Amino acid sequence: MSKHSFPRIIIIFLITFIFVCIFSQSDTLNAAPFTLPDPAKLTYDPLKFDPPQPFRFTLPNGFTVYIIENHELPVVKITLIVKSGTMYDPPGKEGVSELTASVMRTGGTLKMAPQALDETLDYYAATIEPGTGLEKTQWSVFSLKKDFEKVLGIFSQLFQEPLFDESRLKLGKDLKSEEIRRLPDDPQNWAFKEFNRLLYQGNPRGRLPTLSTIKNIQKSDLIECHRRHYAPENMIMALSGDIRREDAEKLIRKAFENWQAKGQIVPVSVPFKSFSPGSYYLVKETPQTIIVSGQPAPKKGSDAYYAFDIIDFVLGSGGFRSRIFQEVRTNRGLAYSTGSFYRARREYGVFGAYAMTKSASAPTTLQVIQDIIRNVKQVGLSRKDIDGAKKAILNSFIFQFNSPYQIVTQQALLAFDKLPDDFLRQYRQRITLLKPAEINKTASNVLAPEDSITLILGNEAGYRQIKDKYPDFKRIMVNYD
Amino acid sequence: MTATLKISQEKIFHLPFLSLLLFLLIFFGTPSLFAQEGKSLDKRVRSFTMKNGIRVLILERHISPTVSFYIRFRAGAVDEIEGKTGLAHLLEHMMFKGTKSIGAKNIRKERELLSEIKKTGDRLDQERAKGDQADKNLIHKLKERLAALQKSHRQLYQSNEIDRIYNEHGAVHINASTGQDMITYHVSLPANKAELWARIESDRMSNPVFREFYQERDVVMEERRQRTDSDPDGQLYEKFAAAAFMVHPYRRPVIGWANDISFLSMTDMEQFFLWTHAPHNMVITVVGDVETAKIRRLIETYFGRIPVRPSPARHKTMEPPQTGEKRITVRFDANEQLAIGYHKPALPSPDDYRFDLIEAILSRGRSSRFYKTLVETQGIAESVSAVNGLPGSRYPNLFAIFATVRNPHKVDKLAVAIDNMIDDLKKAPVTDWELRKVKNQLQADFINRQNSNEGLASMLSYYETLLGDWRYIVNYEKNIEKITPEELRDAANRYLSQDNRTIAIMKKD
Repeated sequence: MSKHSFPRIIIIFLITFIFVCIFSQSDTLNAAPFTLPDPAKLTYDPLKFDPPQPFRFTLPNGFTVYIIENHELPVVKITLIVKSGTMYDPPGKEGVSELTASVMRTGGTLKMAPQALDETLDYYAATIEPGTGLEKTQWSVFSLKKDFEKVLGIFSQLFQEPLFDESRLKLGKDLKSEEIRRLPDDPQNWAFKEFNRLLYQGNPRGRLPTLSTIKNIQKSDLIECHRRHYAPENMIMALSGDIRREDAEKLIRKAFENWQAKGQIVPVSVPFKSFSPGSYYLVKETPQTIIVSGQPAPKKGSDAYYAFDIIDFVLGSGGFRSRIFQEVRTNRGLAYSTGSFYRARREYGVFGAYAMTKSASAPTTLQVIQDIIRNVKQVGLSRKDIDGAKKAILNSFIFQFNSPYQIVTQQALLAFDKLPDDFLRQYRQRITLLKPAEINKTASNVLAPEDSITLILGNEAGYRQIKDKYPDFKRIMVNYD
Repeated sequence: MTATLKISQEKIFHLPFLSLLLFLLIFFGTPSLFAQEGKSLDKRVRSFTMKNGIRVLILERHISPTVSFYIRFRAGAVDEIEGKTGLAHLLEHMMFKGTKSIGAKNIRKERELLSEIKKTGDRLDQERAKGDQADKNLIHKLKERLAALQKSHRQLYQSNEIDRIYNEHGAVHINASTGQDMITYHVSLPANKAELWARIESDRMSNPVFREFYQERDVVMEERRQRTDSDPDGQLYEKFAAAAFMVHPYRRPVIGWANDISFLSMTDMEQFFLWTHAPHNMVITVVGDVETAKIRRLIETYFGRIPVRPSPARHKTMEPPQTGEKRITVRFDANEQLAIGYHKPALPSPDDYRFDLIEAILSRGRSSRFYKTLVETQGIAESVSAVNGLPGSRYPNLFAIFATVRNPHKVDKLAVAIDNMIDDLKKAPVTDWELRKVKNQLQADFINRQNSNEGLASMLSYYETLLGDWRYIVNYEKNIEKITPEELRDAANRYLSQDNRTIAIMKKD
């Protein structure tokens, strides 16, 4: 029994006991006549919370770990963030980072054959799965407490002694190829993939895997990708669960401290050094048109970042009242999915807006969205908009700390991005202190509806309608062979 | 991307609940701490029924100062009448449009205008319904009249006020969903804002004002285009369910048929609201950093005022037994895939538990039968998954299999290969190792679902709404644990027959 569990049980018991008494009384209370109060006049007790602080340690080989104990349930969870992502894929080998991660997981280790590994994890009801993104790969581990030591052992073997079994590599390549063949079947997924390609054109982030790049990838490429990226100094681990901090540390040291691999990551240039706007149309015979439009935006942690978060909130990510949602969806009934997004990364950011609407409405919808963005650029946001956005961001801030696992993962992600440990606290202060003039100056400087990359995916008839109103649209053909 | 007011066509999968106690006793001899805590979920949930019939579940969880609220109604798409499909889902959208006191600037004037809007909209729909015989001039005039009325109305209310208030008070996951069996509204708030939730929800569950009806009907048409008409999975699923059920309402899509949606009226909506959202259909679930006694008082004060409303007797035409295989082809511009469904009883039938296990044996994880044989060894599938309990669980439902084929193989070959694997289930009992493995997995799922306020609120309220007793999940353990390999083989033989199945195949040409 851990030291934290005992008092909790007592508390639960006491609370239960007290409730029984109160319940029997409250049944006798009759509801007095009651008028609904004005929601604006409700008052609330202050919220008190002191979130648990992660414990951090670094092994001599550079492997960094954040831990928070959580004894609520008999499970342990890990997130391991690795400096490996699709932007690092060499030209002609697009897809290699994703395949490396997936075949590390499926291809066995020097100590365990692939099938035995699958069966063991399934029997323990444990999962170890990678998710490969543009700039990082995030591994997630779930294990019941009782099996954690064995699961962690398997996890560390995957990293240090992967087998890259040839038949599992072939399976991985076949499945990835099928996924590529099926990409145009799903209009939303296809449109956003192609939008990213256009947005990042000229940068490694804009390259997508094709059937031939997947075919090109050999076992030696996986070994090379693993050698360059999977080294202790290139990753950060977050762990939370029903385990004492000291025990977790001991197990992690045992599993990873002898790993002496040295990575050799080839740096990737930052995008948007020369951004070329343009308007593109991708034809698919489908009843609904997808519009995505985007542009460079402030990088995470920069001075303009905080102001732009407010701008994005008011424009299209802040719920039903945000301007794009309110106008395109609520007022005009033009779309179900519509709004904006702001992806701020360490070295750059992207802002975009999107809508999915019936073909005949696409030209109007595009214009409505551009007008809204133009208006904010020229006129700025009202004080009411800004106050509302600030309240929403600050009041919902507590949900950044909703579970120990979330807190510890967040801390690891900040460290991975080389942002300060107290970034979130600073964020809160910066948002609080933002002045309307500063926000509106940022809107004026950053927003560029005329200089965006716009991609529309829609049918042939829709293309003609768009061309009538926006002659600059160029039709693009895409080939994944 | 935000997808708000989403529609959920899949049920919440039966939550494999196995307290570790029995498992640990059998396999390790000693119960762990969790075995005690796992049992205590049973004791930690407080429940009561209010005088107007509302059921309330409260679970304190003091991990962070936040709280999740779920309100579910035991009424959904399955309760719509013919020709009015999509009504439950459109109503769920309309419940975000404000109340007599939220968003209203002049409710008396609004009522007058809304009545005019309703009349004009009805006349417009009547004319549109004539199709080729419709008077185009009249339609044009009525549209203009409707637009003018909407413009005047717009001056009299604040749009999207519920969402604004929630947002500014720090709410997250403000959303709702509609399924065949139930309609759900949920939100999470900082723990000190519980009264705001009670204020807004008790108001909108009794005094909603259906503003912006015709615009929202268009929004739902776009939602249908997005989820069903443009999406191969949505297309296949819709046609598959419609083929599998001949007469039972489960054959209809939750979002509604396009033609039905485009003629839904405000009157339909008001009537459907009154009985579906009546207190006796309502289950409130609160999980998080709250004090039970306080939250109980709050709920009684705010929700106790909602008057009892009658429900009409609900008759459902039951699905007669299927007497021969049904096969359909769905032409669509996408790579080949298929869906197979077998009729079976819904929970809490003992057979439903058996199909939870069969589902996991066939398709849970890389060591599952489907993955090992069809994806890994034979290489003919990209993905194969089994799902027990579609399209809902209030009435007998389907055990379904969905699969995508891998180039250069053809979907017909995949269908035969799946059939061979179903035959294996019927011929030989599953191994003890396989059965233990999937029981372990279902246990772990249940534990994992308890790691958030939302997960717990969703799970407790789902079973309370569906079966009238959230304790289904407490008893799940013993019901699953006692199932034997022979019982699985027997269930497979009784239900997974050719005559009892529907196959839908998607092909390009």
